[in-house]
Amino acid sequence: MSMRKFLLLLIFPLLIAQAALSQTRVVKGKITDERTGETLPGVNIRLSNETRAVTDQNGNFSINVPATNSGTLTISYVGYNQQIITIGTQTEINVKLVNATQGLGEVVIVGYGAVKKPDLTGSISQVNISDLQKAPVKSFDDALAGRIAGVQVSSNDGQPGISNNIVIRGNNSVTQDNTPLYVIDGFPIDNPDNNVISPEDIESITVLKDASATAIYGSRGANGVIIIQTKRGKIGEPVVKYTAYAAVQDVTHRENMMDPYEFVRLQNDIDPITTALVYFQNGRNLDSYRGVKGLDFQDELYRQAFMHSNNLSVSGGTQKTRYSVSASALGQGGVIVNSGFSRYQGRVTLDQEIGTKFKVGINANYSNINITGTTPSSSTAQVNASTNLMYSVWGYRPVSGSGADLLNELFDPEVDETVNYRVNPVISAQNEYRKNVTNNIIANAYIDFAITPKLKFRATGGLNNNQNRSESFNNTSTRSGSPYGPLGASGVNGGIAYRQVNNWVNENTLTYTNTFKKDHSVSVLLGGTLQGIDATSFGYTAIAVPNESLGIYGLDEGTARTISSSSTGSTLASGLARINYNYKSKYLLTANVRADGSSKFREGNKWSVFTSGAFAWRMSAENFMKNIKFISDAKLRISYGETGNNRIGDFSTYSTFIIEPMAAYAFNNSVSKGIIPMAIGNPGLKWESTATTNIGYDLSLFKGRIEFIVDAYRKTTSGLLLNALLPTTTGYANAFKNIGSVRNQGLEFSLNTENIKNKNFTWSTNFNISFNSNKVLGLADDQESIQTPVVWERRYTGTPLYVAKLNNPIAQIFGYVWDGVYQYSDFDRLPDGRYLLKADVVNNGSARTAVQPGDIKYKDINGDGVVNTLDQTQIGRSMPIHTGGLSNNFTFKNFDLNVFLQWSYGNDIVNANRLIFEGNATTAVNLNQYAEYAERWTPTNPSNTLHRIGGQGPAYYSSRIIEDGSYLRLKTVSFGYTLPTTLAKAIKLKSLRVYSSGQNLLTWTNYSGPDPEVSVKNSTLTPGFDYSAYPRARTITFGLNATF
Amino acid sequence: MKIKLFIALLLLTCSVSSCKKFLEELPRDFVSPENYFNTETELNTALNGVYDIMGSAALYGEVLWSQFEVTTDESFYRQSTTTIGLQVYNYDSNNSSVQGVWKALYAGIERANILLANVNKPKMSDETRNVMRGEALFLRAYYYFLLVSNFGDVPLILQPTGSVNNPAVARTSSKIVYDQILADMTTAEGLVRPITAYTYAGRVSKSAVQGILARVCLKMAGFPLRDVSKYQLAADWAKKVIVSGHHSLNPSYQQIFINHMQDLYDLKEGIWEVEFQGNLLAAGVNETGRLGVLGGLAGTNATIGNSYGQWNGTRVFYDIFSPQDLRRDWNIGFYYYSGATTNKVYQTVAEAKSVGKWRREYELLTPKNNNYNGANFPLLRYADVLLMYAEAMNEVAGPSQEIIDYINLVRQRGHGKVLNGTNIYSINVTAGGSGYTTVPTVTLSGGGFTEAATATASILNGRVTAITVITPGSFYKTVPTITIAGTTGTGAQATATLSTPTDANLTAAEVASKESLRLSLIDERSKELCYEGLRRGDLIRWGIFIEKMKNCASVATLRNIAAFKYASRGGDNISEKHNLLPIPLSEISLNKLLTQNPGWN
Repeated sequence: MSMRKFLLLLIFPLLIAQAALSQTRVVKGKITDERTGETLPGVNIRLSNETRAVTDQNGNFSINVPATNSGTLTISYVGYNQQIITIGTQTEINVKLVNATQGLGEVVIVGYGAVKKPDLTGSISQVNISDLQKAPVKSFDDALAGRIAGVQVSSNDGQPGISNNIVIRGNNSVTQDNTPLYVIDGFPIDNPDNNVISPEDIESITVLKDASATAIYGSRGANGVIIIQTKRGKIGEPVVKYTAYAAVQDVTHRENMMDPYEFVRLQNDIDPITTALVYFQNGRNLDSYRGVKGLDFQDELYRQAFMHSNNLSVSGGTQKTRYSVSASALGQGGVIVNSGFSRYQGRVTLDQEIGTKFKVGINANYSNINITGTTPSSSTAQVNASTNLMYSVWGYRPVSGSGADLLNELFDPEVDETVNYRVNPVISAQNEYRKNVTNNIIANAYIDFAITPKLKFRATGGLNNNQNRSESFNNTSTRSGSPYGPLGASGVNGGIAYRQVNNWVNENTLTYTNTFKKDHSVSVLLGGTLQGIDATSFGYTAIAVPNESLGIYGLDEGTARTISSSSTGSTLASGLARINYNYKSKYLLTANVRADGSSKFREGNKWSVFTSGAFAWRMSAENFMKNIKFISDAKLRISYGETGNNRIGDFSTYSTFIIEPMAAYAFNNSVSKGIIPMAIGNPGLKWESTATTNIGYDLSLFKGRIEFIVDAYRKTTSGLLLNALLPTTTGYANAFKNIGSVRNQGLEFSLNTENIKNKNFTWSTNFNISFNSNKVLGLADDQESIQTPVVWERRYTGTPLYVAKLNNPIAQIFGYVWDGVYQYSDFDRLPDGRYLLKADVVNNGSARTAVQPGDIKYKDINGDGVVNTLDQTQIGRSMPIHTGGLSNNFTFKNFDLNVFLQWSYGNDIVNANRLIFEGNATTAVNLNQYAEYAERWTPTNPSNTLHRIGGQGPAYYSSRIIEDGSYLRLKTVSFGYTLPTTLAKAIKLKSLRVYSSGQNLLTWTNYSGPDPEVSVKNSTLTPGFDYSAYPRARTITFGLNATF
Repeated sequence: MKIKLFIALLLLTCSVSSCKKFLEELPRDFVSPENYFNTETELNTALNGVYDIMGSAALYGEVLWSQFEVTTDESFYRQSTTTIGLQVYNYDSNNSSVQGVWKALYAGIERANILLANVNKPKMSDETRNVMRGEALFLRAYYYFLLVSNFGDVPLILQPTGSVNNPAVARTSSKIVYDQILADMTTAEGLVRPITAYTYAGRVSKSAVQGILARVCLKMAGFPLRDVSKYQLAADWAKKVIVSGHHSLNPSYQQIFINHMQDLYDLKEGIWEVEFQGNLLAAGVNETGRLGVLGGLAGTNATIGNSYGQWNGTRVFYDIFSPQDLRRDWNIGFYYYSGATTNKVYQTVAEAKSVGKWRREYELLTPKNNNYNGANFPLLRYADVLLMYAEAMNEVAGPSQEIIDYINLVRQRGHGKVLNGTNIYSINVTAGGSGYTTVPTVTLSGGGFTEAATATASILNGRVTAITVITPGSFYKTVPTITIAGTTGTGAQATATLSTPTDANLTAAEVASKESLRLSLIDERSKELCYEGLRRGDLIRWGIFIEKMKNCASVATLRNIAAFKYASRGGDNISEKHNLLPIPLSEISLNKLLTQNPGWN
């Protein structure tokens, strides 16, 4: 008999004795675990006047309470949240205790439920939320990179408000979306706006990776699933929490451009006659520019930007009612003038028990998001490199020569605006009005009904309404609004576009949990869901707006240009089932089946069934391992299953016959609209399916102080929903087909260790690394490759840069192999002084007679003596070999320190900036170049790396501009101090932590461009292209977290 | 138990029948061809869609007459830095413009095929239905004509694409494609309305079909089919246009092109045009082209209209004109605008002159767009019909008075005989004088004119070196006196030369034989129809494309001034393979049944 029981026995007679003294009655009840329904023995039940009771082996208790004015029962149990219940007139009180460790690693949220961590069978990872929340970011996805093995997160550039590209275990689809399915508070949604959730509101993030975990989401599980649970009220006194931080952001990388001397020398090399007229007037010569300080527009355009965040929340509750209310405001200035992001957000949750069997809850979130500022990575008017913002920033002349005020004039007088669209980037960034406003409402509700303690019914309903308004306005101080510019013929112009997306869902599930003969526990889930999405959009643009001072509100006075409207929508109906069986928590089995019907497909193809199964063996529960002391847990997991993907247009099975503004004919000079076939439907389309095999091993050593997880997987996607190219003799360029196949395979390792753990000092480490490689196994009929150009500069539009070739990775970088620079020795000198390429030296794509010393040189891959399109080959890999993260947490007394490193290794980047600024591929005059280009080939400086001015040859991509994009980044450092409780109390606080943290602090890379995490034209087929990216900011914050 | 529960749950979620309905979503913002074609209006809207292809940038919106035609014996691409591209005949089967033309034409064919498959669906008068059917049939045939004449054997597809599966279609021999074109156009000729039914030139009329049939027949009679029996057929179709009584030549050659720039119609001369309208700055939909923007007289002045002046006439072309021929100085302009100013700069070197057939200064729609305008593109002019008839009949029967008269009609109009009578076509400097530091004024006095001629002098090293006739005047009776007077310089003298009433006509030598007249017609078509998208096709069907281009290149190398020696580039690069365009590489990679044209692999 334990000491505790002995003591209880001693107390018991006292209680009885006391009860006898006054008028009492008996209250009985049973205490169970809220989640598993298991009865809990030994729970303490305390009446307000110190009367106590304890549950027996079956969780039953009985306590004498006063007949009137009974008071409250306080129920407490180690590892569970304490509950306080008003007795009132109740005679039977059944209480479900909530495991206090839920969400802290003991229990893992999975699709439609939660599982004890040791009982997991699939490949499921949880984000360490407390680490993640240490990063000062606007939304959780900004801090997700490197946190979880197998989850690759990257953003296109540093644009405020930009969303991240998240890919789980590699790209399955070639032409379609590869983002995972999100399940936010139980609401499955394909492409949520992650900015609408305040990172502070997040309770947990779980990533489902293998088919056994994702198959419960059937048709949409193939890209993996990210489950996000937001915080809800907990039983207890109201907790008021206030967190705030203020931050400064800086641009860390600046391009080193030519100074006035080198710039003028370059112009003199290009065109001495004009250069003399512009730069060598009034007795000046080249030497006059030596040492002259030049204008650098980076100094003018970049700024130190302020960021602030304030978050206030109140939460609390009783056994019956739990609530939380929170509100937040976040403002993030962009490091480029006139750009930024802001969010105002509010949230309410309420959970209410009704009687003993019903529980209802709601959860509502509202966000207002404003994103402002011009987008450097997109062409503003035409497909021309000179319309991108950074072109003007880096390329602007450092010196005018004539005394023209370059800083304050919109156009540079020496730039021919008809061929080069350079404008003053500061004036244009300040005047180009771009605003994107989002109002998002998420409302979810549920009702739980415990039919019996073992059989529960849950119905949920949810709505996600996203309203977006995109405004643009170009006044006379912008490139397209200035009447003096070549693109300004339309005058002051602007436009507005509204888009509304409504997602709704209804899910009904039954869960049955039971344990037979002690050792066999079974849980069964059955469910049906309905989901729908509707999207509408409307927009209009106007030109020749007369009153520019009215801005966007003066559009109505201009000339209407285009009107757009669209509507689309789809529905999904599903039935799902899952059985979990476990024998003594030693042998674990999971089987899933989900049937999905989608309105996107036609009769006969609408429905598909996805199944998966998993088996796990907890070796540590076997006798042979039980004796190995240092092993606390060891588990082998094997799973196989199929999941799907239906990410095509809602009506891709239908042929599109539309009246489109441009499809018209001007009979008698008045436009007659025409209707044209825009797309050919494919009524036979069906689901794309991905078969995944996963083998994993979990090992936990030294009472969990070392935790090691490894997973190996292979995903084969077949019947790809491919936007396949068609021979254009059909009248169409492409159509959706279920054709082709892709395979991804990889390895993932995670290691979590508690290195030091003592009273004053702790040190823990999380490390993860993942390897993924993919391969195209099949494409459209007879097709051997998909070649994809990047649209950024007119001259390069026809040149493919990426290729997806059979039996090769999806997106290889494709082009010519750079072979240095032609030297005099490659030429014969003709009697007239000209140089002619020697017969045994190959050309560079230009006519042989046109090739001159100093020109760029390429390899003749096929050895036919001519460099032409047949000499293109793979010149880079766009996907990393491995990616990962390393997080270290230290605490010393009240100080805490988190250091998080993240990396990507083995991927290449196409640095297209160098085409423009290191060789001037567009042959623009008066365009500044990188300082390095001063060392270019000249007759007296026979460089073999930098070709002469004008020697760039045809518009080819070559290995010259392909760079290693590997990097290691000190992503987040957070250093905090928590006030001792006594001190906190002195200032009337429950707790207070003050901290300083930094984001993107240091990056180690060989990449010469501004930032290696870049992909400005991001798609599965075109990753890792860098041109005119928004600079990535370094953020330093100071903040506090206070609880009242 | 569990199955029952599962079913119950699903029933709760949705019943079987309602579930089926739940998963039915129909397109909301577009229709499908199957539920279209219910009314005459809908059929007509679809027909507009078939026409739409004509104005696309890949065809007559730009590429077909610019990139594909800028370098012939008539002109070259004024960009010394361009060493790659269609403009210099240095391109491969991966060329995007070649792909673009192919794609646009097949898109047009699909549109026509959809229309023709549904033409009987709407309830409407059969008369109107037949007209629309005729237009669609003709347009499809015209698209095939552009395909077969440029690419040789091509897939012949006459039904709408029904399915995305098995899209590969093999090439059909050119002869069969031509036969289909002839058959369809002939059917169309019986269905479409006469040109008198219209007040504008964009619609396919009987005259248009007949004239284009003549063009198709001439092509069939030449390279590569060389089916000489088609000369007679060509003559027959051309003759139908001539005898219809609906057509005549515009008395002013220049006015034809001014009309284009001003979006005006002259159905007597301009039988069929690609219609453009607006310049993207006007409200609503604008259908724009680029005539006069890419070629044209260079200058960036916004009031005159920006022109890139990318085309220059060749020296060879300049030299085939007689000095009395007003078409020379119109087609090859002799001035450009200095930068953004309205100052004209006069050119004296032949190969330095930019093409001036379409001049933006005549555009009426303001403000002008730097890049686009509403100028219509001529597809068939009456002058072409006359010349086609003459060419066909010469091949059938040799020179006859009838065809000589027709050719002379065209030549006389070109020389301004009808409008101007005798005029001043040149002024020769007989003494340069000395001391001219500023350009002196040239005054013409006397001569009994209706309209006075004007001229301007050029000076070099203090001497007057040349006098350029700006306007030739009209109906001069005697030679006027030339006075050269300025604030500086003395002693320059010059004499004017008048044209004669018969100097426009074919000479006896030219009409002496079938061969001599053929040679004369080769030049005549160029003088009259240059830059109208016809020259490359003409040279190819005559089988002299490569030879002419090589000749042009050697003349450029020998005679062009240093700055324009690069004009030889096109001819230097050209070879036999250029008689056909390559089958686009992208098509070959997606359609294994396709083969490549000779020399393009």
